Amino acid sequence: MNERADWSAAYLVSGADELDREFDVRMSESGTLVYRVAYSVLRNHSDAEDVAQEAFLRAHRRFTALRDRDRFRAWLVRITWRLALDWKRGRRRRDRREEVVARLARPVPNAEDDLLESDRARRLWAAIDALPDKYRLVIVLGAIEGHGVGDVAALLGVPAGTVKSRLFEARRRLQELLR
Amino acid sequence: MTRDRDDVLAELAALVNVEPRAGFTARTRAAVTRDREARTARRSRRVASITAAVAAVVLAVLYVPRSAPAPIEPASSTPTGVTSRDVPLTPPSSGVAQPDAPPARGSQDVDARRGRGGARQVAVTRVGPREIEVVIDPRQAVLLRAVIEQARAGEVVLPPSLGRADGDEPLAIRELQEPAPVVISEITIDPLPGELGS
Repeated sequence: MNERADWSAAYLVSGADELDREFDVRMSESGTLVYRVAYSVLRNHSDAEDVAQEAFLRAHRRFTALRDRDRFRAWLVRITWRLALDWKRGRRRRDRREEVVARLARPVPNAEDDLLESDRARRLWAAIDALPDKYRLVIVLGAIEGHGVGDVAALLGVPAGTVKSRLFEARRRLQELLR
Repeated sequence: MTRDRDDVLAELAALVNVEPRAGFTARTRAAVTRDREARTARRSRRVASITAAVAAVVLAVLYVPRSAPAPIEPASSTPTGVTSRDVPLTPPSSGVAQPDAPPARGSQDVDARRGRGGARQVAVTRVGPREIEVVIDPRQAVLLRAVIEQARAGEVVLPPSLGRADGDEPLAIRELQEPAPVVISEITIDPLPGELGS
């Protein structure tokens, strides 16, 4: 009886450990991708890191419910994208409240901020923000890590033809907006 | 046109492909570990509290009804006029109506008291809320038992104390006889001594 209980406990513990190990490996593989997805929405390193961590926490809590582990990256990208959008909305509200304080104590810009503040970059971000969500996500994922059509299709769980058409339309609209 | 589009993607790639700060993966791993431990502790506390609540409910269901104080039966509720103080606890050998029946729950303390001191008088009869202890006069019990045994045998012979008071007629018939007429003597009012002169 005790041997059986010990065996069951050991089996459960080993199963949990195995899951944690697997999650750890996947987290190491996907960390940069998640961070970049968050950054593409938030354009702030600190916020991007917070959102990426929160995405990993949520993914870890629901990891056992994920049936197809091969879809982990796509699943994680969707979690991160939604979290980043929510975070951005919250930040906008927060920024409006703290607008006066921020105006009085504006931080000294660094090199990255200079790049962000450059006219071209600002226009490009504004154009991307103006895109509908489905085009925005496709073009951002296509720009990250040189993902091809097949990679983006796998990340979004849509056919490659859909990705191609969305990518084409996103580029066309960006050109119009940047012209 | 194609070159412009590729330039846009290249610009976007330059903006998006940023590297996380050093130690990002380690910090994320630590956050996941902390969250896992916190969830495990929360789950343990929840399981412990649920177990404690279930155990409390089970214990309450098992023990509270038996340990609840039973009301003391008022003396006026004895229907025959025989109070429980008057009834000897140990009746004669044939005096108890139901000798084989298990004792009522309310009489357990009485039994215990009997075992300790051997007292024959019930000081206070404690009964449960819905369990009324039936107290029967041993004399009635003797008679009832005799009547029941005779009824089983097919012949009921009433004992003299119940059947015939004077040997002539049954007690029940005698009780039904008309009472003797009441004779009321004539009422005379005598004058008071002081009123004679006036």
